[in-house]
Amino acid sequence: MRVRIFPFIAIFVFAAMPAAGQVSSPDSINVNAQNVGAFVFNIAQATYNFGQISSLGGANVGGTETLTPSTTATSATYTSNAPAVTFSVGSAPQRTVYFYNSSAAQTLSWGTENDLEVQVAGLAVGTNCGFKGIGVVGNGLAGTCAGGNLHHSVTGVGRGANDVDGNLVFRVTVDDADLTGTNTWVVQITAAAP
Amino acid sequence: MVEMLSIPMRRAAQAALLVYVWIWAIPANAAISIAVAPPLIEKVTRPGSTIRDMILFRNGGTEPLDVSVTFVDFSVNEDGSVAERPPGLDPSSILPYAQVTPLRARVEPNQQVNFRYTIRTPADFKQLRTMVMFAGTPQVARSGNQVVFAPRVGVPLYVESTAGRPAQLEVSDVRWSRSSETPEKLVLSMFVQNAGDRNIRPAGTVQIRSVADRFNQTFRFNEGREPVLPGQKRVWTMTFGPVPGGELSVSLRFATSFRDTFVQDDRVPAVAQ
Repeated sequence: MRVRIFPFIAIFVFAAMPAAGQVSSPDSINVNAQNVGAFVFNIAQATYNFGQISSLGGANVGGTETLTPSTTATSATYTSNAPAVTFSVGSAPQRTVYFYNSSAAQTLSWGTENDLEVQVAGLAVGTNCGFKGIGVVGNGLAGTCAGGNLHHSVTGVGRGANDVDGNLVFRVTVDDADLTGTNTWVVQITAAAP
Repeated sequence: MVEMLSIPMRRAAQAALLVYVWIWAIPANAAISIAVAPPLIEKVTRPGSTIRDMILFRNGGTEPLDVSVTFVDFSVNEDGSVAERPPGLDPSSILPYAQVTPLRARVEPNQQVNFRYTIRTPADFKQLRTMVMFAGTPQVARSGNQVVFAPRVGVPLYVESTAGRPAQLEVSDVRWSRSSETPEKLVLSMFVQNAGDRNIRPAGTVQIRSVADRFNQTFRFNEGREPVLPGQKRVWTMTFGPVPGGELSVSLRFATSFRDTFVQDDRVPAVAQ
């Protein structure tokens, strides 16, 4: 008896072929997943004011907060309180994030770039690198505290309960030899994950 | 030339960015809030092809931002460490083959800008990569002795060739110890090297059990989804816990390629009394 099997085979073959939308062109293959995700970096305030400061360690009139200077024979250093400037970073999917200073060269009326130092504080995971002068930029992805790296290897940065909250802490030193005047420092902090 | 991103996918990306920003734990009235999507770009393509896609940037803060786009390359040194390079100099740099538009934009609060990029891959490559940096400087009134914050976020962009060898992670010198600072945490240390031509973000698990299974918990390996780049060598440490102080058995399992899994069981002694 003659059996017609061709229609069955034809259906089977077409079912095994990929759907037309999965291979978009003969030149390339797009293997992006549909889960897009996002990376978010928030800083509670746009500026921080040291106000009027002096190498004598006087009160910082006009500052964002009352800073207690630490004085030496030839200079005074003003340090912000740890929670003065808060930030948060979140990611979906979860990533390992690195923070480093990437500030450009500054135009200053007095002092040098490294008279202003910054530190990332308040992170429970990763490795903190302490204060760094804003004239020193970082090699952020190296996973070390070299150069201007501020805090590295912050693992499991997610969103919601798993986003990372921290603080930016600043300190500025005024030397006797510094000229009078005012500075505006633009401090660029990079948050990146490889 | 080939259009890589379909219209439905662009709309999906835009919708995803809005959803993620809405449900995010964003501080109320944050002066600066930057969101980029996608956070990570990994594409596989044939040599000599063209890729067109976009990165979404949203200003969720209360201050307008002057946003600029730059590229930072990163390469693998001879000793296997990763280091940043001036853009365009490293053989793995995407920069000679990529264009982004716009390079600058003023983004108002609650505004979103699409930064479109085109990559024309060369005839011979294994992996091209760069970190696309979005820097936002707030347009605020300036005053004396003031710090202005200019956050910058990076979106790593990888393009891998279909001709490249799959990632292959070689693992050695696996050690477990208790953290000297917090003995309730276990520290994994191991040496890894990627012998392939593509990234690998190894996924896996670490199961930690105490005697008689009174404590039995599984942790995620490589929770931060870090990649090991082609040719990269590193001593990789991870911390797991909290765990009890008694003797523990540890089962480590993670992918070293698309088909291979590293498996190792160890015992960790109890905390010395």
